[in-house]
Amino acid sequence: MQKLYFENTPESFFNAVLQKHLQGNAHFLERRQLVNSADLFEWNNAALLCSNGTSPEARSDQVDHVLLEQYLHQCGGKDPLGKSEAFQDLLVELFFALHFRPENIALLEKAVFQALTKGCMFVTEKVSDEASAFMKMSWAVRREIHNAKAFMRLLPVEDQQVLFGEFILKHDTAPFILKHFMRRFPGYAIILLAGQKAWIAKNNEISETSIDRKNLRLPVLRDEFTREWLAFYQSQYIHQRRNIKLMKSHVPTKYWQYMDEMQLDIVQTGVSPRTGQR
Amino acid sequence: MELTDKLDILGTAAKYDVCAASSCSASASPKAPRGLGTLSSAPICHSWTPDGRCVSLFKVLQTNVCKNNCRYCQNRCSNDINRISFTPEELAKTFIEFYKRNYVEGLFLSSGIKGSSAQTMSEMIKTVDIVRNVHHFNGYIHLKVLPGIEPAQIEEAARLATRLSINVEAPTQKALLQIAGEKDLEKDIIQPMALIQQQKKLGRLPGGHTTQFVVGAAGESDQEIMRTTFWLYQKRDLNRAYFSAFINSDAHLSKESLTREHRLYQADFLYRKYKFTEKEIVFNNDGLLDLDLDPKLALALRQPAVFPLEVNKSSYEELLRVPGIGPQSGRRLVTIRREHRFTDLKELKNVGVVIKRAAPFITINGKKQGSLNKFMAKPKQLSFDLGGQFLLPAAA
Repeated sequence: MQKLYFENTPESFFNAVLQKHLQGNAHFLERRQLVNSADLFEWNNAALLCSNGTSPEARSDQVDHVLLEQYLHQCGGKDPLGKSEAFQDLLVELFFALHFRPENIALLEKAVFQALTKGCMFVTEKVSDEASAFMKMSWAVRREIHNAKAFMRLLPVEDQQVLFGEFILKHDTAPFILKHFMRRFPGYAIILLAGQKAWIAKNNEISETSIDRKNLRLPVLRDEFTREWLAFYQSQYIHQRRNIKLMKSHVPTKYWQYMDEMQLDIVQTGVSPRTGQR
Repeated sequence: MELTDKLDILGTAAKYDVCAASSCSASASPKAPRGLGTLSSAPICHSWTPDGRCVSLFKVLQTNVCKNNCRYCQNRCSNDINRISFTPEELAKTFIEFYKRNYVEGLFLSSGIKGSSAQTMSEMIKTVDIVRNVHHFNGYIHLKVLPGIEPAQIEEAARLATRLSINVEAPTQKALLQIAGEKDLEKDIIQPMALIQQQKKLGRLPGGHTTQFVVGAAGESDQEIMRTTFWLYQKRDLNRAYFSAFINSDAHLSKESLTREHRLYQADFLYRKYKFTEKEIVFNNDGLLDLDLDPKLALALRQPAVFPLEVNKSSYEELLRVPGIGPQSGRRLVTIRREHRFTDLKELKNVGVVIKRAAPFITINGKKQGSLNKFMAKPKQLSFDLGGQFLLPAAA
């Protein structure tokens, strides 16, 4: 079996699928890791554009038009570039789905194939089960990014322009998360710790390193403002509206360990510490 | 008094103010921010309280000292509670520290009226000014406008805040007098709203302006509330109205009050997002929304001649009137239909249609998908109104 490589970009993957179908099925697709960190950073910038709802127009011409024409001539199907807006939407979804872990290349391939045969919207609007599963991958990545933006806590390291945070990451989302905080706190270095890896964002650059948890002394994500925050959090509770089930549905329990307020009795019992009522 | 106690008292005092969204166009953020913070295009909730409400903003009062005696408000002057104030510097610093720790997305600042409205508003503006110009905060700030302040203060507030709001509280002057004797609907609320509207026209306030009603405190009807709400959307360019069920003096909040509040939100959404007309919101003879049926289902059941609709042919506007089909799934249906003909309920489910609700009201390629019996099984007799006022608008 011959390998067809693609890089971590939707266009590259799209081209690889076209190539595979043109050359026959005796090939399989494999991700080629980007070795150049400058390239990686460039793609992360593009990813940020996508995550902000802006279509990555600058990259649309990277789809191999000759290959696409050849494919349509040989295999038939619908020209995805005929509806460029829908195609851009597909590329954005594909971009996020490529960051899903563990990766499922076969499913991504099916989704691209359905886009070619039934139209891009057939996939992005989740008409088939495969399209629905593909979109779930994309949304799982987006959701993890959003959850980190919401539930990750940061601790300013005293007298240094450094913010430190820890989170659980299942997918390849750290660069997206760091870009968000870099925009939010310009001038600060952001350190993100997840599992056995750490990412450092400083001066518009993101670097990644492996860490040895056993020998690592981590700062505790608490200071005097934690106490103030807990007082404020408890003050916001209206016990007459108690609905713990609804609260739990919004905050996945796996993130509770990073949220001090979720360790309070009030979260489990709904008893207001102020009035003693529930 | 310690900061923790102040946060407890002034946070509790502000918790009944509703402020759901903390998002607005990300383009309103400076392109190359010098200071802290950004606006987010999608709302971010940083925590959730055990009542299922999100904590997105640092929601506090500048002070809970108040000269007014509004019946619905726990800070009314006749209420025996601890009275306390934040200094602008203290409040600004606390907020910035919370923001750096990613506890909150922005600031929501309201206040009781200490001395005069203008004096208190000055303190609030000073706080926001420190946040913006000393700490260089570029993110979201929602500032309450107090009734009876100077027009120049509204202009100043609009320069600093992302969103302003002034609470209507009641839909008519008569109802307002019952719960807030000191307030004049026209002078204290509607006129300042016109000034806020002017500021919005000048390109300030990227988050627009909002208002809030207390529901069930003054015997007002849902129809009165919705009529005033729709008027504010049309004439005052209001972005959003919030509804808060009244908690009476024995701190009781009935299930019916919460359902009523929910129905008002549903009716509001039908008007804003589904583009229903005022006449399409169905009230009973007392001017109340049906507590057992959501307003969209209530309208659909009143129009047996209109349904079922064919999903492969109906216009977007028609599809929006089918229970279980919302703006997003309706848009998807219309878009996909250009390339693909729907054949079964599974496909509709995949694009986001709520099958349980929609099935009795649709056909797929001429085939009926369900019966209305489950809705009709209720012992209550539903009235049918086939008059022209409930006909669907013409297809776009």
